[in-house]
Amino acid sequence: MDDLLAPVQDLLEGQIDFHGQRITVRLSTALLIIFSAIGFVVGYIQQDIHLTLWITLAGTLVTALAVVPPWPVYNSHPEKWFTQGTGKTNIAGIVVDGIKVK
Amino acid sequence: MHSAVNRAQSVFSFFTTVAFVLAGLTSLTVLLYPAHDVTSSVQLKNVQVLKGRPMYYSTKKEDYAQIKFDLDADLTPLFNWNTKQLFVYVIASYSSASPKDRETVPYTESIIWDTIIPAPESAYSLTALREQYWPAKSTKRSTTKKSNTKKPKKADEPGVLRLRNQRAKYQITDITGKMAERENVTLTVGWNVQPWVGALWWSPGTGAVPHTAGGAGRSEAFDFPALKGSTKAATGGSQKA
Repeated sequence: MDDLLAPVQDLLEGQIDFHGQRITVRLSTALLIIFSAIGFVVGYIQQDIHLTLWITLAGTLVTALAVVPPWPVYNSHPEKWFTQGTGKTNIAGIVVDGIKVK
Repeated sequence: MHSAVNRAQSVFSFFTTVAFVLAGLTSLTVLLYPAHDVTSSVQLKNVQVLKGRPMYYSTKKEDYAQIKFDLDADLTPLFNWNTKQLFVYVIASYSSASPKDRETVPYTESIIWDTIIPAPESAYSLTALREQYWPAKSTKRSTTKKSNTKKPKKADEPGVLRLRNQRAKYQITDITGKMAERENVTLTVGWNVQPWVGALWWSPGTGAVPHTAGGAGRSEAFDFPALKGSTKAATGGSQKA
């Protein structure tokens, strides 16, 4: 059962790497501000507040589409975890509170 | 931002912040349209005081003042991009206090007539867009009608009122039940600008904040006639009974 559910869970969670997370934070902030600024200016020039509303809402939708799904770009810098058993703790040694642990 | 739900939440969260700031800025832009060019004037045409009952079953009889007036107003400067509609009204105000209290007791104010002037329908409003892209099945002619509702020209902008011998919507009385021979009554034009976002704007002279610029018309003082009598106010000027 786990074998079946794991891919589904991955898809729903849509995890991205650290580099991707930094991009999405900046991208979502920038896109939302830019779209609302465009909406404000266009609405003011055209003297129609409905334009501001629609442009801002459309911008939010675009931002959500750009940021929410785990696009491959956001997973292009995977973290290089040590694989199990490759760590040479005997040589390097791990020191916790001054005491060498295995 | 590690998971999809988390990203959706943060996008929506920041969207609410952006929308709030946008609404604040929009409501502040109204300050750029102080509407100094608003003009309005109201003149009394005729006033009658009649006896009547507040409702059918009531045994109490009260005086009711029925007023007719002329109104000229150009309220077009009050319509800007953030105006949803305009509430325009005419107030009759008089002092209901005894002469010695007249300085301290505020005047009685009653709305005798009002109207709502909606802003011109935007080509991008929800109903207009729905009409354009998802028209109802039977309204085939809506496509042809759509083409000429583009940009409203100056001519058909709302806000110009010209009323002649307009009968008041509301007959007025007050708590004393006596309206006949009241003195120093004036009619005043007032308005509320209802915006899409932001504060409700009042007309100048009401003392309310915030209020727009412009001229709120006020008639000359007149007196209510004796009961059941009718007085012609040829020039709307003050008359002594």
